[in-house]
Amino acid sequence: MSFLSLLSLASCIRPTQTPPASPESVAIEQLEPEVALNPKREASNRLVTEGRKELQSGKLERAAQRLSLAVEIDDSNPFAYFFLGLARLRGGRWGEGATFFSRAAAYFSDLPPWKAESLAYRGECLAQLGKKDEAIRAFDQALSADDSNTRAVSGRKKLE
Amino acid sequence: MARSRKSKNKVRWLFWPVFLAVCGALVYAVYCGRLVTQRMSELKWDLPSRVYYAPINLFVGGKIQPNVLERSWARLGYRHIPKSGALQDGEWRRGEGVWEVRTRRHRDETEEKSPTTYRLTMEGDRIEAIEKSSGNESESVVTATMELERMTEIFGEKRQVRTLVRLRDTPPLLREAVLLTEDERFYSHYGLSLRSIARALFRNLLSGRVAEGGSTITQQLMKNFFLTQERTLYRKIREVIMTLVVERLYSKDEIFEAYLNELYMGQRGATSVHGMGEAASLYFGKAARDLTLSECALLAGLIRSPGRYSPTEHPDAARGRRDVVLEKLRLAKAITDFEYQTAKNLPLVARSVTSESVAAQHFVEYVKSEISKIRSGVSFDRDGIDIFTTLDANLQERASRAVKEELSVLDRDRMKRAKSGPVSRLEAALVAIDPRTGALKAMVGGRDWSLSQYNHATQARRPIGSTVKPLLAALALETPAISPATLLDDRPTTFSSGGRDWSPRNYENRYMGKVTLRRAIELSLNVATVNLVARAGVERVAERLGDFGFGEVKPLPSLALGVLEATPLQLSEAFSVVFNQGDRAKPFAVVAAVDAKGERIVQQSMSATHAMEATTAFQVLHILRGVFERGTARQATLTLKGMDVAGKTGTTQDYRDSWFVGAHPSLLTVVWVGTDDNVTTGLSGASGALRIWSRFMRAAGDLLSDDRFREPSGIKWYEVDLEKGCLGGGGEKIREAFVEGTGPSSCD
Repeated sequence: MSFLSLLSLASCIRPTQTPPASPESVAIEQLEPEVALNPKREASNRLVTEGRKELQSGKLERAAQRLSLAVEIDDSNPFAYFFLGLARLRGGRWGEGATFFSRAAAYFSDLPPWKAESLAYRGECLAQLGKKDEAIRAFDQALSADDSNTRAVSGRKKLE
Repeated sequence: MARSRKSKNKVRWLFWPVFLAVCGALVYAVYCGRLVTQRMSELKWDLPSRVYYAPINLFVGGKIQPNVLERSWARLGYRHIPKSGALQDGEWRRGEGVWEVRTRRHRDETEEKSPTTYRLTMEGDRIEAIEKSSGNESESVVTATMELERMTEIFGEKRQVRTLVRLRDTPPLLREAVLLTEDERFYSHYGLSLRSIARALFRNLLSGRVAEGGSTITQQLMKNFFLTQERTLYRKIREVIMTLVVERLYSKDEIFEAYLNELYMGQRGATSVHGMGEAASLYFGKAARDLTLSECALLAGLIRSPGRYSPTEHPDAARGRRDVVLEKLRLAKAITDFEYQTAKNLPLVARSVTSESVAAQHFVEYVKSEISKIRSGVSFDRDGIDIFTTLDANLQERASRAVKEELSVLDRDRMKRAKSGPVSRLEAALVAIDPRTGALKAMVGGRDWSLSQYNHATQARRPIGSTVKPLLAALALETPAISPATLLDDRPTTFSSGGRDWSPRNYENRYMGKVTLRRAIELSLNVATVNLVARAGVERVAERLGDFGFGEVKPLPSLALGVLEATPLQLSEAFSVVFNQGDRAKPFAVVAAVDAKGERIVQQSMSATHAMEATTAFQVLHILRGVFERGTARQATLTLKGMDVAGKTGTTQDYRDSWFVGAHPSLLTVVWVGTDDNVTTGLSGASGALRIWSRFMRAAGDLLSDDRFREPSGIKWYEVDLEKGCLGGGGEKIREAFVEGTGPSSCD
């Protein structure tokens, strides 16, 4: 499916849908259809898409390189930070993961399910770092953004 | 009987020398065999490593100055084609609001890229649309990446440069042309060609000099690999033995491939160019596989004498030689008469050969040391590593120029001021990073690499002076009771520390009495800052400075005056916290280093750690805007044409070090000026480093976006009295950033 056809498909999908279990498996254009109005974001998302492909094939550092470029083009692109966080989380770099998920959550203000997902992942990173209180706070923030976020629910339960 | 005994003795006497000679020859043959096997099996030449700049990334909605692209393409050796029609690889043209370029085959840190045509529709310096076509297909895209520019190559003592090519990756016509000109019977002889030797002997006797060599390709290879160019019988015997050995051990294709890679093909400055791969790149800016018939003939003809037939130095001779090779191809029926005529009529188009001038030698050394930290045992002059860096070619060029030009102005001023005696030579360093990612965009390690290889940007730890004040302010602002409008004491005070009294002084002994935190930073007031640190807690501040990358800091009140030491690179990392919403971006210079086998030995990308709240970082950033508007950097404001910038000057004891840290949303730059013998320069942060920074930013302006610093959520704005920091009041008003839930008090 071409990039353009994905864009047209995107127009009929609501941006507020819940993040899928495997976030990198969904085309980014489906998640944020309004990007067509913002060429900078569109260009940045193109690099995010490339980064996610690398992420899917397990090439974490290559993914991070593409996502860094996405940030250089549009430094408020939440998806770039989100997938950077995911790359770092999968690489066991929890501190950086927490940092990037935090930034993603800040920029996902219009997409509560994604904000919640970012915060839940941040909670997971903090939990890995042994920062229990901060992790619980992150899970709580995730649930206040979207009380149906299963990652936050189970993450919090584990820490109780 | 006696005669028979005599002849037997003769035989006995002859036997031993002959026996020993045969044994010697056998031992020598075995030795040669091992030598040849080792060299051929590894096919190991000393391959220089190559260092590349970051690519130019174009995107719809992005900004690009035409001269930036033109200069980049000129450095790459692309040709400007004014006429319409299909572009060939490495050609570009510019029309009304439209740019077209066809890239060459090249590789980046991930893969090899095929030649692609990009058509950019421009609205001024903004890209409106990008159309991409390769082959017959064409599509609209949102991003385009240009071919990478090579920064430099890292050589060994021999200074040889070579791009290895496989035989299968060379055009058949190139192989044919080389065989026809150098050794027609290569695939049918056993390494030596008696016919060639006899012919050469005959011609040399006729001309009375050595006019022609009878060496086969294998002999030439052995000579180039292992022997000298001297013409002695001994060397010839060794050459013959080695030739026979290598012919016995290796296939013709293997020998031919080695030959095509070993050939000397010309000079680029002080560097000798070897092999068809590098020659194709040197003279035509393309990969060997993309050579045309005319280019194949020219390169084959060049083997005999790269100097005499150089297409750039002696185009007429080169063209004549090319035509001779074309004629040979025609006679051998490798090409048709039509192909011959077409190629013969083509003009000679070769790139002008320029030696690369590296304005980033300190950076190259830094990159080598960084890679060696991650992967030990790398021989950069032999292992053929491709190093893909973050350095921006255009920013680097402008940074180098800014440092050089402004230092000469500063030197001249100092000479005038100096009443007597010699004046120490000024040194300077500049580091520019993208604060959002940590990618190093420009680095100048000193005024002149040829004079000093010491990298002042990464190695010189110097006291940072007042540049520490914004970081201290940031840590103080974490305390709920402190805001940018908080009033501080600024009058002569004696502090006690470790049982000793200490009386800091302000610059030129000027004191403000009561002053806001903002004004204390804008005007770089020492006493007010010491009081600020005391209020925030010296112990806590010292401990938290570790989060900015300073390591262990002693909790002394004097840390408010910048006794901390750091390199410009370390300072850029510390300040990324302020300009990257509270996250500390770790500077990195290498995106990837790929060895000759294609293995990635180093990979890096952005990495950041959370150091403070985004709102606190933004409050400091907004104070640092005021340094330009009203503070120690106001002299620079006029020249920066509405750019959103923020920064801080720094001067150390006796004017030994002059610092400036300044940022645009996508470029954080630290400049240091001082001397290597640590004597006074007479320069403050504003009169030294700031001038270099301003010159650099003026030059770099057209490369930077129009973005403004991003305001995080949680900031609330109040209009306050500039000097009193309160609401109302009769003085000058400014907009001040407060964290939501806090605010200024009333002046009443």
